[in-house]
Amino acid sequence: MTEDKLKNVSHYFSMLDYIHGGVCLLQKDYTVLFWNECLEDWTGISKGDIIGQEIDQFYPHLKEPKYRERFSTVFEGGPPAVFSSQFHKYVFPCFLSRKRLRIQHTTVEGIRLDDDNEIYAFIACQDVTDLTERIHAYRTMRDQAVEEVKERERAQQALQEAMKELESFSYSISHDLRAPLRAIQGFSEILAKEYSTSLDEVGQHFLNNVVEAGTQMNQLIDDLLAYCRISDGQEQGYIIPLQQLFEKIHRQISNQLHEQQGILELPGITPDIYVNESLLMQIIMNLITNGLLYHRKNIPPIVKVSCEIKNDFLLLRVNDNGIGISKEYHEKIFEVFQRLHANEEIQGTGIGLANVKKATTLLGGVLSLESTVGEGSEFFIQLPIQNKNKIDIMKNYV
Amino acid sequence: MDILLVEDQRMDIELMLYALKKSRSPCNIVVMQNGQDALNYLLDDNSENQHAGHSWPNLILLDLKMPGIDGHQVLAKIKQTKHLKQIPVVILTSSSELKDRIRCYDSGANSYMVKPSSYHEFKMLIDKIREYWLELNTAAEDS
Repeated sequence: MTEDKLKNVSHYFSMLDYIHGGVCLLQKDYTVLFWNECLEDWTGISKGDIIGQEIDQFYPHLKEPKYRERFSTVFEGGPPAVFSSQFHKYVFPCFLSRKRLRIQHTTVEGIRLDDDNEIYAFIACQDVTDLTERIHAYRTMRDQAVEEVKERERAQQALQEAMKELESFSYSISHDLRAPLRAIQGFSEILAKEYSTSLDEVGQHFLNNVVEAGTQMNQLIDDLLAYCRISDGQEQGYIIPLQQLFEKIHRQISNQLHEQQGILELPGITPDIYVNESLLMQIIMNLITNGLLYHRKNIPPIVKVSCEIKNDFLLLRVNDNGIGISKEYHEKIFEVFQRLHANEEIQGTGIGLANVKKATTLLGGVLSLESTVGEGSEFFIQLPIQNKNKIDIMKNYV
Repeated sequence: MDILLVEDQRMDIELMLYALKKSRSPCNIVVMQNGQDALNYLLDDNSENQHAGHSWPNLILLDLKMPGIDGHQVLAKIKQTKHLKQIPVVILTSSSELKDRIRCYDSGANSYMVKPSSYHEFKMLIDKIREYWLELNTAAEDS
């Protein structure tokens, strides 16, 4: 190309000096015809130095077949070549800072200039460093998020496995522990009832001890099983009217009431709401049973249960005239296996109140206690009422 | 024969036999100590053999947790077998699990009882089961 023509080209393309991206024009023999200001700025190579020279002298890697072959295609009138940032990173390596190279997205297109038939390679270089970095950061973030989700899934699975284990544990409690216990209780009862004449007084006393221990062990298994069930939630299915729950409680407690010569006052009018049978049963029954059990010597127990609805909460009060609980134990009594009294005094398992607490928490409620030693206790439970209609709740049947 | 008891725990069997012995009217009972034996006993018919060998029980008392073929499987087999499905099956188990209860009723159990741990209650339960299923209830076929 002649000197004149070079000048013409420079003039022709001068607008491209204002563009924010590298532009370069090559002749078929790889001589540089145009080099815009942006490229001067990026590479530090001035127009004067590079124009008229072969590009390979400055960038020898462009001799490599992966570039050369695609340039040739363009010079022969073929489709444009794209050197993407992902595969090639940069066609004209240039530093952004000491360590960072500018990442480029480069397209090479064949163009014809007005006055001849020859095809020139028009190279347009876009700086995609920022974009690439942002994409990279986004990908890292996404990978992290995916990893976190996986982690959570793993934890969930582990939790489910633990739940299953607990379930099979409680299942085994109910079966494997109960069978030998039933034998101990059954045969010792038969002995006590039908063979007691063959035993002297001491022998009979010992036998009674066996019967008593068996009864206690049985209660312990019942309570422990209830505790396991509350946590694995398997018995959460049944929803019944509160009224019906109190009727059930009344039936179940009558024997104990008679034994303890106690008085139980259940609410006369109950709010017309549906409640979770097994959890509410755990809560109210345990509190009533405790009230009857922990009575003052020679004072017959009186337990009063009341309930009302206030601002979408069911407020339950269970009040007794028993021995009371001193303030320092108000937290401790809700822990499993915590007992304040020796077996000789009062027969409890130390699980009842833990069950009350657990069931209350599971229902999203709160539990508090007011008590005066020697006068009695009042347990106060506040449970949110779910705003579902009855049909929705019925769907929850397991 | 009145009752077929399918139960693997020796002591539970003894308690049951003692309780039955103590009740006011005697009754015949056959005990099978595992599910396989129970099924062999019930399915060993060859049709004509059926009346020559032994008669069908009027009531089956079935434990759930047994080694090998368990109570659930025995129950399912009984309720799927034409000449057995009319025999009342009372599940007598220590499990009060919801899933056991549902599964049993789904398979066609006629009743589900949880074994009480006190002998007194156990005896009462046995008496009531007997009274209801062998005296008050009218069976599909005359025994």
